[in-house]
Amino acid sequence: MNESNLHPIHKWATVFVLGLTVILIVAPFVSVSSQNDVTSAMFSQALVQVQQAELAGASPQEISGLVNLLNRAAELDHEAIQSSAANETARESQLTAQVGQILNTVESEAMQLTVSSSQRSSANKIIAYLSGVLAAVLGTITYSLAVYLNERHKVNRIFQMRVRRK
Amino acid sequence: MSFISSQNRRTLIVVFITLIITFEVIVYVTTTPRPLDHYFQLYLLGANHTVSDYYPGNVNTVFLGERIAWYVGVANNMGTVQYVSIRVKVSNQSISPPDDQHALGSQAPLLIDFPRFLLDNETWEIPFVWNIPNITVNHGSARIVILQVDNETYPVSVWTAANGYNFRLIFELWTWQPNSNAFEFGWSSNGEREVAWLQMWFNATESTAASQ
Repeated sequence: MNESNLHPIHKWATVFVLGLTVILIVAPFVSVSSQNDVTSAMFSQALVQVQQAELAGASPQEISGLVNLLNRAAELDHEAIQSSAANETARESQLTAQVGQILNTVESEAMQLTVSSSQRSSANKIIAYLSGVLAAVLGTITYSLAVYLNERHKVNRIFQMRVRRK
Repeated sequence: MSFISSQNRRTLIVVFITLIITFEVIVYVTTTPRPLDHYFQLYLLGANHTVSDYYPGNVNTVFLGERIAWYVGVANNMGTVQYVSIRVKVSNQSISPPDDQHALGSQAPLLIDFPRFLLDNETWEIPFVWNIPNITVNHGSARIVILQVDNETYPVSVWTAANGYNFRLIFELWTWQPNSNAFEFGWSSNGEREVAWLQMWFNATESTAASQ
Protein backbone atom coordinates (compact mmCIF):
# COMPACT_ATOMS: atom_id res chain seq x y z
CA MET A 1 0.00 0.00 0.00
CA ASN A 2 1.57 3.31 -1.01
CA GLU A 3 1.11 6.70 0.74
CA SER A 4 -1.53 7.95 -1.66
CA ASN A 5 -3.78 5.09 -0.57
CA LEU A 6 -3.71 6.22 3.07
CA HIS A 7 -6.92 7.51 4.57
CA PRO A 8 -6.69 11.32 5.11
CA ILE A 9 -7.24 10.85 8.86
CA HIS A 10 -4.36 8.36 9.01
CA LYS A 11 -2.20 10.80 7.04
CA TRP A 12 -2.86 13.63 9.47
CA ALA A 13 -2.42 11.31 12.42
CA THR A 14 1.01 10.29 11.07
CA VAL A 15 2.03 13.91 10.54
CA PHE A 16 0.81 14.77 14.08
CA VAL A 17 2.73 11.90 15.69
CA LEU A 18 5.88 12.76 13.73
CA GLY A 19 5.57 16.45 14.65
CA LEU A 20 5.01 15.63 18.31
CA THR A 21 8.05 13.31 18.32
CA VAL A 22 10.25 16.03 16.80
CA ILE A 23 9.00 18.59 19.35
CA LEU A 24 9.64 16.20 22.26
CA ILE A 25 13.17 15.49 21.01
CA VAL A 26 14.09 19.11 20.32
CA ALA A 27 12.33 20.76 23.30
CA PRO A 28 14.96 19.98 25.99
CA PHE A 29 17.74 21.38 23.78
CA VAL A 30 15.76 24.53 22.98
CA SER A 31 15.01 24.94 26.68
CA VAL A 32 18.67 24.54 27.67
CA SER A 33 19.76 26.88 24.91
CA SER A 34 17.27 29.62 25.83
CA GLN A 35 18.18 29.20 29.51
CA ASN A 36 21.86 29.71 28.62
CA ASP A 37 20.95 32.75 26.53
CA VAL A 38 19.04 34.26 29.46
CA THR A 39 21.95 33.63 31.84
CA SER A 40 24.42 35.11 29.33
CA ALA A 41 22.28 38.21 28.93
CA MET A 42 22.08 38.53 32.71
CA PHE A 43 25.88 38.31 32.99
CA SER A 44 26.17 41.09 30.41
CA GLN A 45 23.67 43.32 32.19
CA ALA A 46 25.35 42.79 35.55
CA LEU A 47 28.80 43.49 34.08
CA VAL A 48 27.65 46.66 32.31
CA GLN A 49 25.93 47.89 35.47
CA VAL A 50 29.07 47.28 37.57
CA GLN A 51 31.19 49.11 34.96
CA GLN A 52 28.76 52.05 35.10
CA ALA A 53 29.04 52.14 38.90
CA GLU A 54 32.81 52.15 38.53
CA LEU A 55 32.76 54.97 35.98
CA ALA A 56 30.36 56.91 38.24
CA GLY A 57 33.13 56.92 40.84
CA ALA A 58 32.46 53.92 43.09
CA SER A 59 35.48 53.02 45.22
CA PRO A 60 37.54 49.86 44.50
CA GLN A 61 36.31 48.41 47.84
CA GLU A 62 32.69 48.85 46.80
CA ILE A 63 33.34 47.31 43.39
CA SER A 64 35.36 44.47 44.91
CA GLY A 65 32.28 43.19 46.80
CA LEU A 66 30.27 43.07 43.58
CA VAL A 67 33.09 41.35 41.68
CA ASN A 68 33.25 38.64 44.37
CA LEU A 69 29.53 38.00 43.84
CA LEU A 70 30.03 37.93 40.05
CA ASN A 71 32.81 35.36 40.42
CA ARG A 72 30.54 33.27 42.64
CA ALA A 73 27.89 33.41 39.93
CA ALA A 74 30.45 32.42 37.29
CA GLU A 75 31.52 29.41 39.38
CA LEU A 76 27.91 28.26 39.84
CA ASP A 77 27.24 28.77 36.14
CA HIS A 78 30.26 26.57 35.36
CA GLU A 79 28.84 23.91 37.71
CA ALA A 80 25.44 24.25 36.04
CA ILE A 81 27.01 23.60 32.63
CA GLN A 82 28.74 20.51 34.03
CA SER A 83 25.43 19.32 35.52
CA SER A 84 23.76 19.86 32.17
CA ALA A 85 26.42 17.72 30.48
CA ALA A 86 25.84 15.01 33.09
CA ASN A 87 22.05 15.22 32.54
CA GLU A 88 21.44 16.30 36.15
CA THR A 89 18.49 18.50 35.25
CA ALA A 90 17.30 19.21 38.79
CA ARG A 91 20.76 20.23 39.95
CA GLU A 92 21.23 22.36 36.84
CA SER A 93 17.92 24.20 37.40
CA GLN A 94 18.81 24.80 41.04
CA LEU A 95 22.24 26.21 40.13
CA THR A 96 20.85 28.34 37.30
CA ALA A 97 18.26 29.80 39.68
CA GLN A 98 21.03 30.63 42.15
CA VAL A 99 23.08 32.27 39.40
CA GLY A 100 20.07 34.36 38.39
CA GLN A 101 19.47 35.39 41.98
CA ILE A 102 23.09 36.47 42.48
CA LEU A 103 23.17 38.38 39.20
CA ASN A 104 19.92 40.17 40.08
CA THR A 105 21.42 41.15 43.44
CA VAL A 106 24.60 42.41 41.74
CA GLU A 107 22.62 44.40 39.21
CA SER A 108 20.38 46.10 41.76
CA GLU A 109 23.31 46.83 44.13
CA ALA A 110 25.34 48.20 41.22
CA MET A 111 22.43 50.45 40.21
CA GLN A 112 22.19 51.87 43.73
CA LEU A 113 25.95 52.27 43.80
CA THR A 114 25.87 54.12 40.47
CA VAL A 115 23.36 56.63 41.83
CA SER A 116 25.13 57.17 45.15
CA SER A 117 28.60 57.33 43.53
CA SER A 118 27.38 59.74 40.90
CA GLN A 119 25.92 62.04 43.59
CA ARG A 120 29.10 61.75 45.64
CA SER A 121 31.27 62.51 42.60
CA SER A 122 29.16 65.53 41.66
CA ALA A 123 29.32 66.85 45.22
CA ASN A 124 33.10 66.33 45.30
CA LYS A 125 33.45 68.15 41.98
CA ILE A 126 31.35 71.10 43.17
CA ILE A 127 33.41 71.28 46.38
CA ALA A 128 36.64 71.16 44.35
CA TYR A 129 35.54 74.00 42.03
CA LEU A 130 34.24 76.05 44.98
CA SER A 131 37.62 75.54 46.66
CA GLY A 132 39.15 77.12 43.55
CA VAL A 133 36.93 80.19 43.95
CA LEU A 134 37.70 80.36 47.68
CA ALA A 135 41.42 80.09 46.98
CA ALA A 136 41.13 82.93 44.43
CA VAL A 137 39.30 85.13 46.99
CA LEU A 138 41.92 84.39 49.66
CA GLY A 139 44.69 85.05 47.16
CA THR A 140 43.18 88.41 46.19
CA ILE A 141 42.77 89.42 49.86
CA THR A 142 46.39 88.40 50.53
CA TYR A 143 47.52 90.39 47.50
CA SER A 144 45.59 93.54 48.52
CA LEU A 145 46.88 93.20 52.10
CA ALA A 146 50.43 92.88 50.82
CA VAL A 147 49.97 95.97 48.62
CA TYR A 148 48.45 97.90 51.54
CA LEU A 149 51.30 96.93 53.92
CA ASN A 150 53.87 97.79 51.27
CA GLU A 151 52.34 101.24 50.72
CA ARG A 152 52.17 101.87 54.47
CA HIS A 153 55.78 100.86 54.78
CA LYS A 154 56.66 103.33 52.02
CA VAL A 155 54.73 106.14 53.76
CA ASN A 156 56.47 105.35 57.06
CA ARG A 157 59.81 105.47 55.32
CA ILE A 158 58.95 108.87 53.85
CA PHE A 159 57.97 110.22 57.30
CA GLN A 160 61.14 108.84 58.82
CA MET A 161 63.30 110.59 56.25
CA ARG A 162 65.67 113.25 57.47
CA VAL A 163 67.14 116.07 55.49
CA ARG A 164 70.89 116.10 55.71
CA ARG A 165 73.19 118.72 54.50
CA LYS A 166 75.73 117.51 52.00
CA MET B 1 34.76 108.22 50.45
CA SER B 2 36.18 105.41 48.44
CA PHE B 3 38.18 102.85 50.45
CA ILE B 4 40.02 101.59 47.37
CA SER B 5 41.01 103.76 44.48
CA SER B 6 39.53 102.88 41.09
CA GLN B 7 42.96 101.87 39.75
CA ASN B 8 43.54 99.56 42.71
CA ARG B 9 40.07 98.13 42.24
CA ARG B 10 40.86 97.32 38.61
CA THR B 11 44.13 95.70 39.65
CA LEU B 12 42.32 93.60 42.27
CA ILE B 13 39.74 92.44 39.72
CA VAL B 14 42.55 91.43 37.31
CA VAL B 15 44.35 89.58 40.14
CA PHE B 16 41.10 87.83 41.18
CA ILE B 17 40.28 86.75 37.62
CA THR B 18 43.84 85.51 37.04
CA LEU B 19 43.78 83.53 40.29
CA ILE B 20 40.34 82.06 39.66
CA ILE B 21 41.36 80.89 36.17
CA THR B 22 44.60 79.39 37.53
CA PHE B 23 42.91 77.51 40.39
CA GLU B 24 39.99 76.25 38.29
CA VAL B 25 42.38 74.95 35.64
CA ILE B 26 44.29 73.11 38.39
CA VAL B 27 41.01 71.64 39.70
CA TYR B 28 39.97 70.60 36.18
CA VAL B 29 43.30 68.93 35.42
CA THR B 30 43.38 67.04 38.73
CA THR B 31 39.74 65.89 38.64
CA THR B 32 39.48 64.92 34.97
CA PRO B 33 40.69 61.38 34.26
CA ARG B 34 43.39 61.28 31.62
CA PRO B 35 42.89 58.99 28.62
CA LEU B 36 45.08 55.96 29.17
CA ASP B 37 46.01 52.98 27.08
CA HIS B 38 43.64 50.15 27.82
CA TYR B 39 45.11 46.69 27.57
CA PHE B 40 45.47 43.23 29.08
CA GLN B 41 48.67 41.37 29.80
CA LEU B 42 48.83 37.60 29.50
CA TYR B 43 51.85 35.77 30.82
CA LEU B 44 53.17 32.31 31.52
CA LEU B 45 55.86 31.55 34.08
CA GLY B 46 57.84 28.42 34.77
CA ALA B 47 57.97 26.25 37.86
CA ASN B 48 60.01 28.80 39.83
CA HIS B 49 57.81 31.75 38.94
CA THR B 50 60.34 32.95 36.39
CA VAL B 51 60.49 33.11 32.60
CA SER B 52 62.58 29.94 32.63
CA ASP B 53 62.38 26.35 33.90
CA TYR B 54 59.27 25.60 31.91
CA TYR B 55 60.28 21.94 31.54
CA PRO B 56 62.27 19.73 33.90
CA GLY B 57 65.92 19.91 32.87
CA ASN B 58 64.96 22.64 30.38
CA VAL B 59 64.29 19.97 27.76
CA ASN B 60 60.89 20.25 26.16
CA THR B 61 60.36 16.52 25.84
CA VAL B 62 57.54 15.48 28.12
CA PHE B 63 57.47 11.93 29.42
CA LEU B 64 54.37 10.01 30.44
CA GLY B 65 53.18 11.09 33.87
CA GLU B 66 55.84 13.77 34.19
CA ARG B 67 54.48 16.70 36.14
CA ILE B 68 54.96 20.13 34.53
CA ALA B 69 54.18 23.18 36.67
CA TRP B 70 53.50 26.56 35.13
CA TYR B 71 51.76 29.73 36.26
CA VAL B 72 49.45 31.48 33.86
CA GLY B 73 48.31 35.01 34.66
CA VAL B 74 46.38 37.90 33.26
CA ALA B 75 46.48 41.56 34.29
CA ASN B 76 43.54 43.84 33.64
CA ASN B 77 44.50 47.40 32.67
CA MET B 78 41.25 48.23 30.91
CA GLY B 79 40.12 50.86 33.41
CA THR B 80 37.01 48.89 34.40
CA VAL B 81 35.92 45.47 35.67
CA GLN B 82 36.28 42.84 32.94
CA TYR B 83 35.08 39.26 32.51
CA VAL B 84 37.91 37.24 31.00
CA SER B 85 38.55 33.64 30.11
CA ILE B 86 41.92 31.99 29.61
CA ARG B 87 41.35 29.22 27.08
CA VAL B 88 43.82 26.41 26.76
CA LYS B 89 44.07 24.38 23.57
CA VAL B 90 46.21 21.42 22.59
CA SER B 91 47.56 21.64 19.10
CA ASN B 92 50.25 20.34 16.79
CA GLN B 93 52.42 21.95 14.12
CA SER B 94 49.90 21.77 11.30
CA ILE B 95 46.92 23.43 12.99
CA SER B 96 47.03 27.16 12.49
CA PRO B 97 47.78 29.28 15.56
CA PRO B 98 45.58 32.27 16.49
CA ASP B 99 45.28 34.89 13.76
CA ASP B 100 46.50 38.25 15.11
CA GLN B 101 45.44 40.20 12.06
CA HIS B 102 41.82 39.05 12.02
CA ALA B 103 41.60 38.41 15.78
CA LEU B 104 40.65 34.76 15.38
CA GLY B 105 41.42 32.08 17.93
CA SER B 106 43.26 28.91 16.99
CA GLN B 107 41.28 26.19 15.25
CA ALA B 108 42.59 23.70 17.79
CA PRO B 109 39.87 22.28 20.05
CA LEU B 110 39.35 23.78 23.48
CA LEU B 111 40.83 21.72 26.29
CA ILE B 112 39.93 23.81 29.31
CA ASP B 113 38.91 27.38 30.09
CA PHE B 114 39.36 29.52 33.19
CA PRO B 115 36.74 32.28 33.40
CA ARG B 116 37.02 35.08 35.93
CA PHE B 117 35.81 38.61 36.64
CA LEU B 118 38.77 40.91 37.19
CA LEU B 119 38.91 44.26 38.94
CA ASP B 120 40.68 47.14 37.23
CA ASN B 121 44.46 46.82 37.77
CA GLU B 122 44.01 43.31 39.14
CA THR B 123 46.43 40.55 38.24
CA TRP B 124 45.04 37.05 38.42
CA GLU B 125 47.42 34.14 38.41
CA ILE B 126 46.62 30.45 38.49
CA PRO B 127 48.87 27.42 38.76
CA PHE B 128 48.71 25.22 35.69
CA VAL B 129 50.08 21.81 36.61
CA TRP B 130 49.78 19.22 33.89
CA ASN B 131 50.95 15.84 32.75
CA ILE B 132 50.26 13.35 30.00
CA PRO B 133 48.92 10.12 31.51
CA ASN B 134 48.35 8.37 28.20
CA ILE B 135 49.68 8.57 24.67
CA THR B 136 49.26 6.22 21.73
CA VAL B 137 51.65 5.76 18.82
CA ASN B 138 50.46 4.40 15.53
CA HIS B 139 52.81 4.17 12.53
CA GLY B 140 55.07 6.83 14.01
CA SER B 141 52.19 9.18 14.67
CA ALA B 142 51.75 10.03 18.35
CA ARG B 143 48.43 11.03 19.83
CA ILE B 144 47.82 12.42 23.30
CA VAL B 145 44.71 10.62 24.49
CA ILE B 146 44.15 12.48 27.73
CA LEU B 147 45.77 15.35 29.54
CA GLN B 148 45.65 15.84 33.28
CA VAL B 149 45.45 19.45 34.45
CA ASP B 150 45.36 20.25 38.16
CA ASN B 151 44.41 16.62 38.93
CA GLU B 152 41.46 16.66 36.54
CA THR B 153 41.47 14.57 33.40
CA TYR B 154 40.52 16.03 30.03
CA PRO B 155 40.13 14.04 26.83
CA VAL B 156 42.15 15.43 23.93
CA SER B 157 40.73 15.43 20.43
CA VAL B 158 42.38 13.52 17.65
CA TRP B 159 45.35 15.76 16.91
CA THR B 160 48.52 13.82 16.29
CA ALA B 161 52.17 14.69 15.75
CA ALA B 162 54.77 12.80 13.79
CA ASN B 163 56.95 10.87 16.26
CA GLY B 164 55.44 13.00 19.03
CA TYR B 165 57.32 16.10 17.90
CA ASN B 166 55.96 19.61 18.03
CA PHE B 167 52.84 19.45 20.08
CA ARG B 168 51.92 22.77 21.61
CA LEU B 169 49.71 24.17 24.33
CA ILE B 170 48.10 27.45 23.32
CA PHE B 171 46.82 29.93 25.90
CA GLU B 172 44.36 32.47 24.51
CA LEU B 173 42.79 35.42 26.26
CA TRP B 174 39.07 35.82 25.58
CA THR B 175 36.93 38.63 26.97
CA TRP B 176 33.20 38.88 27.53
CA GLN B 177 31.41 41.13 25.06
CA PRO B 178 28.10 42.41 26.45
CA ASN B 179 26.90 43.22 22.91
CA SER B 180 27.04 39.59 21.83
CA ASN B 181 26.56 38.02 25.29
CA ALA B 182 29.56 35.81 24.67
CA PHE B 183 33.31 35.52 25.05
CA GLU B 184 35.31 36.74 22.07
CA PHE B 185 38.99 36.34 21.32
CA GLY B 186 40.92 39.47 22.34
CA TRP B 187 39.48 42.84 23.28
CA SER B 188 38.66 46.23 21.78
CA SER B 189 40.77 49.26 22.59
CA ASN B 190 40.32 52.66 20.93
CA GLY B 191 38.28 51.07 18.16
CA GLU B 192 40.92 48.45 17.39
CA ARG B 193 40.86 44.75 18.09
CA GLU B 194 43.79 43.52 20.18
CA VAL B 195 44.67 39.94 21.02
CA ALA B 196 46.93 38.14 23.48
CA TRP B 197 48.02 34.54 23.27
CA LEU B 198 50.97 32.35 24.15
CA GLN B 199 52.14 28.96 23.07
CA MET B 200 54.54 26.40 24.47
CA TRP B 201 55.98 23.75 22.19
CA PHE B 202 56.78 20.28 23.48
CA ASN B 203 57.55 16.81 22.30
CA ALA B 204 55.65 13.93 23.83
CA THR B 205 57.07 10.50 24.23
CA GLU B 206 55.40 7.32 25.39
CA SER B 207 58.43 6.51 27.54
CA THR B 208 58.22 7.25 31.21
CA ALA B 209 60.63 9.64 32.85
CA ALA B 210 61.98 6.91 35.16
CA SER B 211 62.97 4.67 32.26
CA GLN B 212 65.21 7.36 30.76
